[in-house]
Amino acid sequence: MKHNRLKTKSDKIFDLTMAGVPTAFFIILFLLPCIAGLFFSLTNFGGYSLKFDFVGLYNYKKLFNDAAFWKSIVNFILLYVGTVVVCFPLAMISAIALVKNKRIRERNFYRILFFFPSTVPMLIIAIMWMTMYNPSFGVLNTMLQAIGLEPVQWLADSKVVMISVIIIVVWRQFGFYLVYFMAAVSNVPKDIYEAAMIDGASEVRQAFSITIPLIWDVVRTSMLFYLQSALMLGFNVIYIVTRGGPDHASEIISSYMFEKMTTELDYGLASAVGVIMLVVTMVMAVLISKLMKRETYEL
Amino acid sequence: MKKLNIGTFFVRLMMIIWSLIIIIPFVMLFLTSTKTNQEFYDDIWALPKSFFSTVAYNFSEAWTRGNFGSNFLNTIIIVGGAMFVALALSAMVSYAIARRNLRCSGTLNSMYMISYLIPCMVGLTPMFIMARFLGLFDTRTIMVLTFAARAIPFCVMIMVSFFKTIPHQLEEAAYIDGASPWRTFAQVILPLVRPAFVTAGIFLFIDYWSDYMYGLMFISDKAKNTISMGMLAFRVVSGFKIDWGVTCAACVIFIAPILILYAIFQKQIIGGLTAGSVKG
Repeated sequence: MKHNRLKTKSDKIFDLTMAGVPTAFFIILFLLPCIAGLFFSLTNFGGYSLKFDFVGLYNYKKLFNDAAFWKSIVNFILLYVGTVVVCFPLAMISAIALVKNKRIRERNFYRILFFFPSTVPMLIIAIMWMTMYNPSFGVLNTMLQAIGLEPVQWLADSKVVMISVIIIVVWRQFGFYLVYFMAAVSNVPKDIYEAAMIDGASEVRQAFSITIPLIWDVVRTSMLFYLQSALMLGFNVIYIVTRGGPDHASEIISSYMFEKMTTELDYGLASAVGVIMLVVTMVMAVLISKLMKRETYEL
Repeated sequence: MKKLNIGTFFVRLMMIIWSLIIIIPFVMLFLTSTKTNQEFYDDIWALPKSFFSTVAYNFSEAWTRGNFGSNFLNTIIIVGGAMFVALALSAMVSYAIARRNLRCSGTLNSMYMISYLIPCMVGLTPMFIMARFLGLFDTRTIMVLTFAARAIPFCVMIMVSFFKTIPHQLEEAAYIDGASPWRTFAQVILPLVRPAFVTAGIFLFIDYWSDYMYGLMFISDKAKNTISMGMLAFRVVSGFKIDWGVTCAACVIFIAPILILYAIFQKQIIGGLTAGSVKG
């Protein structure tokens, strides 16, 4: 039985402090700025002065007329979908294969090695990949030429540049999700598989009828949480590797906003981008949780 | 007789290929940090000719160009301060959510969960404007505060699930012995959730150590730069002559602390993260 003893006055003070102080701190320094963004997006706050006027929806009008802004939203969706489509199924299959295959004893080695890139600062990864992508001496083009293919302008070709960004993010995040899903797969109770084995279900059938449905909730949650990490990861790659170029071909919302903030010093406009960023991620979050809904099973 | 298993062979092959794809860039990084620029351009795979003198030059040059020495103290203050604030506050609210049977526990928990979905960049511009009004712009204080605030949802998520695993009897025993809730929290509960602190703390360290965006936003005085901001001096800009050996040496210095932490704590990092989230 849970303890339901009456709370004394000192208990109540304790509860209030423990829950209240951190929550107040968090609301003031995280949620309040998000809401204040709505207010600042209606002003022409900019430059170095603290004076500002209300300009109504001017900032939004300016944004909606900017082709680079629309491109940045499309590119963000592309980045998100691209990385999820490559990363998640592969990580899921590999996780099942690694956990279920008892012959692979060096499982833990892979786990430690593959997880490592997701702890390395994006700054370093970006610099490492810039050497790999280098058109004249980079490893990738050397390999392509070795097997007789045309060298690719990884970062200068506006059609290829988003793919290059996606490759970097996948390289970093694959191991993270692999480790994540491995933990989920090994949490599935053994007796279900035993029952399936007695019924004569093949290993592939077991994966699709038992493992994937049972870990689906974990997959869906990580897809949701990946939304905001994709914004940050994308920003970190793009800020170092491409700077949004060539000609905004690799701009995503976060890098677009940062550019408006640091080079144009247009904080009103940047706040408006922030508001749109929130709307876009929330719409995507709702869509993902609707689209990815499957019957879940409580264990 | 053991028969060759095609499935196992295939899985192993894939894993080895991916291992190489992970390892090669790091090998390149370490290798290049020991070579002169000329050696790098001649053959990127070749081993360095004069190892020690080049290493000494590359690393000392990287150290001064990246301002590591003078940025070190700032980084310690900001990262340490933010970690302390974030962990302390998250532990408090997680304990209240997980163990105190509050009426608002559910609401609070979902508030933090939903906040974890909000990209921290959304509030960045308003935060910057507010910092200007409050006179906190270009101070280390604002860095500590904003860093701490953005990490709280993640820490709460990890810690709540840890707090839930502690048996209720411990708190009851402490209560019967006459301990105040404060004392129970500090002396009975906190020592038990040390693994959660280690896991969350390492993730925060890595996150703060690598972040330069907030620094670019809130700091303009060169004397208050962090190490990651100093690293931006090595950003590769096309059209300029790049000193690859020095750049890679700077990268090696920059990831060294993370490499060491990961080598020591990989079990806690991986285990703690998955334990906290898989159970939901």
